Amino acid sequence: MADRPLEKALERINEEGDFEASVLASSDGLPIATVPSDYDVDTTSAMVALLRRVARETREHVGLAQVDEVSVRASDHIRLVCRCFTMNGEDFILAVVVPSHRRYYRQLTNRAIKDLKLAWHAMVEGS
Amino acid sequence: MPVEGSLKELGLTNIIQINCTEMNTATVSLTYQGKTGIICFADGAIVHAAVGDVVGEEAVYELLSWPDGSFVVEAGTIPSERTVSTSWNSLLLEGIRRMDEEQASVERPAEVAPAMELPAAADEMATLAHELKNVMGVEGSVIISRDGIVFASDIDGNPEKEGAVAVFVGNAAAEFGNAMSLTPFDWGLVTMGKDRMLILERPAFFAGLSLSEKASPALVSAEAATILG
Repeated sequence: MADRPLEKALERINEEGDFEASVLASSDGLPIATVPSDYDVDTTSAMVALLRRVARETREHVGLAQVDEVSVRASDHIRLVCRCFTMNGEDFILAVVVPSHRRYYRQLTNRAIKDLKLAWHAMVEGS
Repeated sequence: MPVEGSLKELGLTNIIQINCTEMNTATVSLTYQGKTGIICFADGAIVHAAVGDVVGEEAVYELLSWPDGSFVVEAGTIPSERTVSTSWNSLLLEGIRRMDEEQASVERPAEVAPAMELPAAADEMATLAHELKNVMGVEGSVIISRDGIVFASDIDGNPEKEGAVAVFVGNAAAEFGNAMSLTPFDWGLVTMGKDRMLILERPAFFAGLSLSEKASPALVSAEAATILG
């Protein structure tokens, strides 16, 4: 796992933020990296695809600046946070499941997006 | 050429909304479990409805309660009589309120249905939207049905667009809850640059609140919940 840069970036924010899971997905909701790897992939891919659709539809209907985050808080205060961003011109979503005792996630996900972009760039350059 | 379909695929609220917003003159014939009914539109207004011996507004409410069935829309047909004079928005509001009450009585037969689950009239919805906008940190509000019908708004810009955001996120949040087997969602939040919209769910509608830059979704949600009841 440690030599896989995308997973490494996700692993780091999971540890620092106590996130239950984090998923990097393509614009159509296909998971590219999931940490922990044994987290329910079907569930995570379904939720990412769902929120990706929401992000696209809100963008189309609102016509404002690009949607950069969609989050949902359950009544037990667990949150699903989806950050939308681009790497090398392609759209991606970073989805994290934030436990109830953590209030702040924005800074961590900002850093994760930065790390993911660097890792992605290195992978593209190296291939 | 008539348009046919299933009420499961296109609900009657949507059929009414489409014909009224597009200012259609048409007759919709509906069939469910051997019963038939019609709703007639003239220039975007509902002017006649009948099902069995029931005519007028009560017929609209009964037809709205059909959970299934089929429909045929014939465009251009001039209604033979006029039995409805209430606006289509008010008819839908009252129809949805009745369905909500019926559902509540089925689900909680031993309880009294909460009086404020859905305000009975459009002006009450407007009051609700106004009160929500007065919450600290809220710059605008829109109250919208799950089908995308804007019940009331107090917001700059296009309430239909803002409402669409609330519906998409609200429905997605509900689906997310189901997929994750989580508890019901408290709120959803969409961030678009500096613009943020908070989405709250109630049994019969979503409330979309446009937040100011420094507003706390949790605090606004808590205060709005006391208004929504």
